[in-house]
Amino acid sequence: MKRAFATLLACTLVAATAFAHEDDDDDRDDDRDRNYGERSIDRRLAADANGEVEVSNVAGSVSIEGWNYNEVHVTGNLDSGVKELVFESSGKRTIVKVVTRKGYHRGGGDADLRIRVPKNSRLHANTVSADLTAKGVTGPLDLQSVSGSVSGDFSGGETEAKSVSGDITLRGDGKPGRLILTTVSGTAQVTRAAGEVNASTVSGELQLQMSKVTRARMNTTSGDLNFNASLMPGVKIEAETISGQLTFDLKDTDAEIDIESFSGDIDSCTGPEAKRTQKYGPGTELQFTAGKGTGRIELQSLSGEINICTR
Amino acid sequence: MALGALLAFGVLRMNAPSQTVADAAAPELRYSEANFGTYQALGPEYETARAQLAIGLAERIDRLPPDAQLKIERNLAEIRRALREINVAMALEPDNTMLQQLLLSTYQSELTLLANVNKMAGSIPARTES
Repeated sequence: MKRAFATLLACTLVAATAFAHEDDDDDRDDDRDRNYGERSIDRRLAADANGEVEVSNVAGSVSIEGWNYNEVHVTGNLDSGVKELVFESSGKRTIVKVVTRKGYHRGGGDADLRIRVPKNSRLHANTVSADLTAKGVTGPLDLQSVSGSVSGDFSGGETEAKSVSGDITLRGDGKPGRLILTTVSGTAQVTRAAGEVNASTVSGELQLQMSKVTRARMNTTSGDLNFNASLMPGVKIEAETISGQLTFDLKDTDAEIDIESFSGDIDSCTGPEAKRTQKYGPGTELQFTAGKGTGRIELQSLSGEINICTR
Repeated sequence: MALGALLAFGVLRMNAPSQTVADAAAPELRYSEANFGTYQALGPEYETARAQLAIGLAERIDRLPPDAQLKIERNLAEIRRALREINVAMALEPDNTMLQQLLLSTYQSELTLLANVNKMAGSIPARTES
């Protein structure tokens, strides 16, 4: 068990080491006496059609759209707490970064930005409290916010969205891809996704509507999970919760199903009834095969209720 | 600030002797340890990574918006409450494989939360009032 966990931890440990020595971005000049004032911006830079665009903002909003031109176009308004907008390009990489005056990253320093990028760009965007929207960008997406909302659409490929308390709302176009969702307490709602998903939350809610699912890994601590999906043959699904509720509504199910809860209820609308694992113990389990059983579905909870419907 | 103290306290407690399940009703914001899965039992790499993350977050947490700090604090407490619940269940069924998996997964959730928040906080400039 420890060996398996060591493997599981490997990625996290690498990430931990990577930023344990990260330098603070605190080398800005003392600008306390300057008055930057409110101003609007309208700037453009040539960009590679398949390049990388990095966007960061603290407060306000960021709206990113993919378009058919090989340039990045930034318009918007900066309030007096914003020191400058860094907008630069080097090789295939374009950076749009709002730099606030000292102390303004926790209040004020709002920038409302509309950014248009080549539609095939690889996009990295992060905010603190600013709401973040990305639409029409078909390249890989990496979107994150601490407390702002994250929303938009995506098209197959790699998509990752992260938040602490902000809600995530994403809409796919039905093309298979790989989706990674992480929240602490925010709700993640995804529609029209396909392919693979890896979703986790502590107390937030996961609402996933997918098609052609080949692999899904989901976990919550106390948050609820609602998974509504059509499945591919050979699918592999794992989901677990401590005290949240797991609800699965599955179509085209062709899998062996293994559900276990230590003290929560298990209910299946189509399969057999759950049975107790021990004569006097609290545990319940439910095992059955849907279709030919080419795939595998494993659901577990400590005290959370598990509901499943297979068709 | 409170969360920083909590995180530092958690790191210090990592080197404390293992608790028994009788301590499961510890105050809400204390780290609890499992009869199977003490932090020490997860290996030195895990302990080191977790200690680094907790210290890093304690140093940087003040950069995050206050409402986000509060939610992080509540959710760390939620994870630790879950760990205590699993410990109680494992006292009843120590050989239950599912409980062992849930325990390890919950430790992983804690580490992931610390790592993600640490990374997010690290990308925000340090607070220096003008």
